[in-house]
Amino acid sequence: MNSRFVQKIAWISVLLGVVACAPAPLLTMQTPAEIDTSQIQTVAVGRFEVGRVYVVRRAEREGIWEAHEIFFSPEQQDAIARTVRARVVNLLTATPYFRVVFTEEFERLENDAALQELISVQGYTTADVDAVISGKIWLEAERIDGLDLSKEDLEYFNPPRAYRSYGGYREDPGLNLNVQQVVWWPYKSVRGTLGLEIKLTQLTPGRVVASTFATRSYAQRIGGKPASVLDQLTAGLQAGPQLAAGDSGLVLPSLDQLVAELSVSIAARFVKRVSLSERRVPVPLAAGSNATAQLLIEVGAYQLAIEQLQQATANAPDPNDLYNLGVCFEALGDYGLALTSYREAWEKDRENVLFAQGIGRVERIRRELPQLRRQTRSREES
Amino acid sequence: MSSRLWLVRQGVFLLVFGSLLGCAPKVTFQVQRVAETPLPPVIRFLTIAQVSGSAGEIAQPQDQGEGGGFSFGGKAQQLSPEVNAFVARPEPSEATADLVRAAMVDALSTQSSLRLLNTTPDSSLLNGSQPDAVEVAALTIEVRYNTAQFLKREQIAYLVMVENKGTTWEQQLLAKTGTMIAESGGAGFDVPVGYVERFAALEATFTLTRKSDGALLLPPQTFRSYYVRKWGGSRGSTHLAPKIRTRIQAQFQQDESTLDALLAEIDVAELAAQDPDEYLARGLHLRRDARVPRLPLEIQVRLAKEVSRRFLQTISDTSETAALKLLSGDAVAGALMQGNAYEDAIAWLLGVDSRGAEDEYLLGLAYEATGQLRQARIHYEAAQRLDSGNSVIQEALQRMR
Repeated sequence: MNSRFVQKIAWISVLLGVVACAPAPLLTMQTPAEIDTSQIQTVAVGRFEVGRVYVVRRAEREGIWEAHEIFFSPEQQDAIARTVRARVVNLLTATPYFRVVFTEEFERLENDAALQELISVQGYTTADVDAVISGKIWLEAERIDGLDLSKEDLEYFNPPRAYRSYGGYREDPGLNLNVQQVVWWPYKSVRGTLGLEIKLTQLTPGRVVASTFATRSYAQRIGGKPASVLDQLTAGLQAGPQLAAGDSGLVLPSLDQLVAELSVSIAARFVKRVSLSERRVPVPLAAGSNATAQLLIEVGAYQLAIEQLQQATANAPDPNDLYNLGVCFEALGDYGLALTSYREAWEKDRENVLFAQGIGRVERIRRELPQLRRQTRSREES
Repeated sequence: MSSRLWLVRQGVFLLVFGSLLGCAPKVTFQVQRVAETPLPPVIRFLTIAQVSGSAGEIAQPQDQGEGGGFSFGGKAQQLSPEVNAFVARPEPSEATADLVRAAMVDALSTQSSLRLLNTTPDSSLLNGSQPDAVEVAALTIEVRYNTAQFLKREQIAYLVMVENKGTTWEQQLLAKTGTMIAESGGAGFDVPVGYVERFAALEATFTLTRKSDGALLLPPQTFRSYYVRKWGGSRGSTHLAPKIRTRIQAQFQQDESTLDALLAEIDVAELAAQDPDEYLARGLHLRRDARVPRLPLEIQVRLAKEVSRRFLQTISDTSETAALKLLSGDAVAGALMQGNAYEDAIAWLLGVDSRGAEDEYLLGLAYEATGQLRQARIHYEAAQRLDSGNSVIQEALQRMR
């Protein structure tokens, strides 16, 4: 069986598993920043230092290894650091939460210690900058051109047949054999790891507001001996989104592509930590008696669905319809009415986990709401 | 049907079946872990005072009864050059110390209530009103790091056979088993095979002193972490002493088993469909073929994060995501807990007249999930009094200690 086929099956089956559970419209929800940065509005971008850059190409034939280290001059290392920095800034400017400014004053600083020294000067102020973002990168990449070895069964099949011989016909019983053979399979692989420390330092009073240190790795291999079934299933699950996007996985990325992919992911984590963000959450619907309302919710027509459901639940309320009404209010941000509807549904069927989930979602939103309001208000006032 | 094709079909079927069964959402919640040696409450700020690397031998992992390095077909073979101890050198230790510092600052920034005054030694942010030195703890980190990598070749025995497919499956199985045993015993012809083996050991000592008078706030804390893995070649052979390798794999690399990796991938695939932003932010969209050798930097960071996490758990309350283990108590409370409706679960359970051990446990769990640890402990203790032998309740109480 083709390994790409197994990979696709693995991914599709999980997707089916997720989709088949219940219709689940995606609701947009705001999530507060993990670290309260409501006092910071204007951010300057400082330098990203280089901790280490090491890239090596290796080749292996019959177990003999050759290595070729790729030298990066300080200027080239700086260029890599600037690429990473650009990705962080791109993501940060894409959120309306911070105003990002570029000042030579901070970009000229050699490293984090110099930045801290500048800020620590008594009475230091700079116009219109509340905080500075700085960072440090560590990068390693290794490309291998090697050989796998495996024992494969080669099938030898010679069908039985009758043939003419002296004195009449004879029977050849044929052969059906597996002949084992050791096979060398060439492969190429790449692995890259980026470690990135990003810091948000407030100027007055001087303090480190947030600091993240994250690593991301990328590992791809093409060719080589056929993978085991378990490895094929694992690879299928991993490669699902790429397969869906039409990426064949048969081309190894360049170092630039690798650095870009890795830094975007780390930057996304940092931005989620320091900035208010929106996320699309699938909220399952109940199989209520009002199919029209369900359809309206699925396409996002919440107001129309509320009208339908309020009429349907006025006299003989079905708990499933009450729950779906709660989903509509939740989608519109009316959490008080959402909770009331969820509780009414739950009162009618107290062991229903779906109804409890509705209550649980609103509980969480309400826990986060004071923080969310504070963070939103700080931006509205500015 | 060949046995390989049969296995593939079984695998795909199990996966489809498993994923369809998995409609019920996996319920996780934030578990609060109480600090093992909390700092005095007056300490509210932390400054990084010194970060350094040093030379010396790193102690080997303790024997916890994992057995000695055996692999299929006999005792594990130690390759030459043999490595039987971890001896740190100053330069790699110095470079790793910087990564431990970065990992520690990240952990403090995310999980601790201590406010950071700087992130690198020999610098401080003295602008604006600054805290009293009595409230500031100064952290010193001393690191020893040993790493080795072997990119070499070894001879592997291959025994090739001609198999008559007309035989019964029992005969075929017998022949395959015989071949495997003969190969592991060295029969067959030797073929040179390339491999990569990388291992590392990290020892970090954290010292916290009061900035005002230099007094120790707690005794110096030393943590160690290790890693070993080989890609290619024979699974049974290693440059590291086999007993040490077995201990490291059992104590520090439980996340790398094939089945655990597959189950983790199913969770990841679900996340990709349900929360694409989080999937991207966690870097789960990146290809991660396990057949490609891990890089020394990855191993260094893995160990740095492990020792930082353990030190943070010593000095500060931390939280981590855990699977919600429900007991079969009150059905309504159980449903509310599964729906993450903890406040309603508390209200409901407080209204139940005679609560059993399971109900008390659920109540404790609901309090724990909302961060009310004192109340959680009271109800876990009540649950234990009612059912002293229950391991789930004991585990919950353990978290509170």
